[in-house]
Amino acid sequence: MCGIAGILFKHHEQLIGDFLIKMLADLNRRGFDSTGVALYGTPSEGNLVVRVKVEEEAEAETVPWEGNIRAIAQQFGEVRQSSRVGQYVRLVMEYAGDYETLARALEASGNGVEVFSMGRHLEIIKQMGCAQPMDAVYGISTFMGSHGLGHTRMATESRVDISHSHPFWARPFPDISVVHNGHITNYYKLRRRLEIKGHRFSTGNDSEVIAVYIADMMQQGATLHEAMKNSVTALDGSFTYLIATADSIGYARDQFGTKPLIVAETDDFVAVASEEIALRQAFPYELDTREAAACEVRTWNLAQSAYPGVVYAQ
Amino acid sequence: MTATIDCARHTTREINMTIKQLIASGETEIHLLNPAARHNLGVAIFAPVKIVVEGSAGYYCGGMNDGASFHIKGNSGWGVGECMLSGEIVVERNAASFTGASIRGGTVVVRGHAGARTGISQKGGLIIVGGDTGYMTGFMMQKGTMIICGNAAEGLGDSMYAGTIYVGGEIAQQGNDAVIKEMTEEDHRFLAGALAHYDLSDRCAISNFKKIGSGGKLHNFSKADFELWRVAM
Repeated sequence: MCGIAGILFKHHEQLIGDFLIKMLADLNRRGFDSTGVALYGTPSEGNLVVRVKVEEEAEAETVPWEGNIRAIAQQFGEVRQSSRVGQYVRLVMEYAGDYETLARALEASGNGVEVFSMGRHLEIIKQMGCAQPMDAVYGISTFMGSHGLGHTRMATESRVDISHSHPFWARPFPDISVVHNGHITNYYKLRRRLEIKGHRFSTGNDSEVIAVYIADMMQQGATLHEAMKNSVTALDGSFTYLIATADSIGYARDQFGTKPLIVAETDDFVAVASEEIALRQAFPYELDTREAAACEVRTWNLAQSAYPGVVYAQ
Repeated sequence: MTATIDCARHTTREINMTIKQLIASGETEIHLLNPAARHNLGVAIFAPVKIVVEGSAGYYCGGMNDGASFHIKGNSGWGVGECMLSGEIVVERNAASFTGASIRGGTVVVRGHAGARTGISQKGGLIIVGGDTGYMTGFMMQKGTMIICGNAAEGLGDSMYAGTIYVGGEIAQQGNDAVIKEMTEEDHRFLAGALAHYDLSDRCAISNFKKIGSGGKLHNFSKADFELWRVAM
């Protein structure tokens, strides 16, 4: 059992972090090993936001991580901002090169250093434990943005640590993230196929393969919706997953409809969560909801021209 | 006598204990305010009391019900009315998966859509869905009746032993050994009466309904039907 949640505002940016934290605090009933969010905002400067996980909480601060990582990043492009909060160094920079090259260079700065997200909009923050302590450290509830995903994990397959927590970045594709509830039983087979094609996996978590599979399909020219449609038969096992890109959000549910997802859509927003009770923590009024059907794939796309108020749903 | 409980101020256990105390003290109608899709509201009620959920309920609302009449004014989560013996549950909007799972008696009515595995292992009673139902509705049904005014998704009535499913809309795919049976005058009368009783007559013309039942091929193992068994297992 895990909990997943997603939100997209159709017309204007909102405190998406606040909505997600409220839902995740409730979904911690479905999993409390770790909690994470993928937030999509717009940085005021720079064209790339990088979130780097630097060290486990328990270790004492002995390395000036922010300075070290900033210095490496500076060799690739102009760093406009850098900060260190909790286990993360956050960079805002100008960069037009290959994302994998930059990620590997940053990760070479020390043991356990891992790039958790890259993109113009995407910021992934995840931490062991529950939503509220995470919010207390990272101030997620003050984050303004258009859309985002969240996850609460009850680990069943792979290691219980921050790297194996959700959301997963579809490395090295910028701005794509995924959260998943369930098990991908043909994980090793799919992973092998994608690795042969040159994709790199950061963890041993089966959910990571969804992100890489979708990104790979999109790289070959598929739309997000097409890639997700294909995934319903390509992925084996039980799953309901949510995926987000720079301007889209969507969900897919397996052929047997084993893992729950409740969907609420109004003129203003699309909100999804494993249980309606979680939606109600963020929206304290009656919602017209429906459970997603087995095999169902839906995506919503924000028209890119700065919120003209048009959202294309499929 | 009518009583109200504000769910926002109590734990689920307190709410359910209060319901039982109110019933013991002679209340006949209990309103649950601010349910906010909470799970397990009003489970195991064994008295002919009316319970009005003033909003959406979470999982297993009215589960194990024996005699009570529930009116859920919003949506319901998984397993509404699961294992009900007698009584009535009406959901005004949509219900999620496992609606009326394993009921032995009573009636579950969903005015909107219902999710996957509606009426799974139904052993009696009546389930009425005003809209569509999801994957594997009526899976391993053993007795009772289901009326679906809208469309039914794949695997309808898969491996059902007995019982009857009426579908007014499209059937995406019949499950293993679920067969279409001939509608009789008696079926028409029953449908007209049941839908009128719940004010659902406008959802679908009676003449559109199809009747699904068990083909009986899975009742006894037969080598001749090996392929059917292989798929069903």
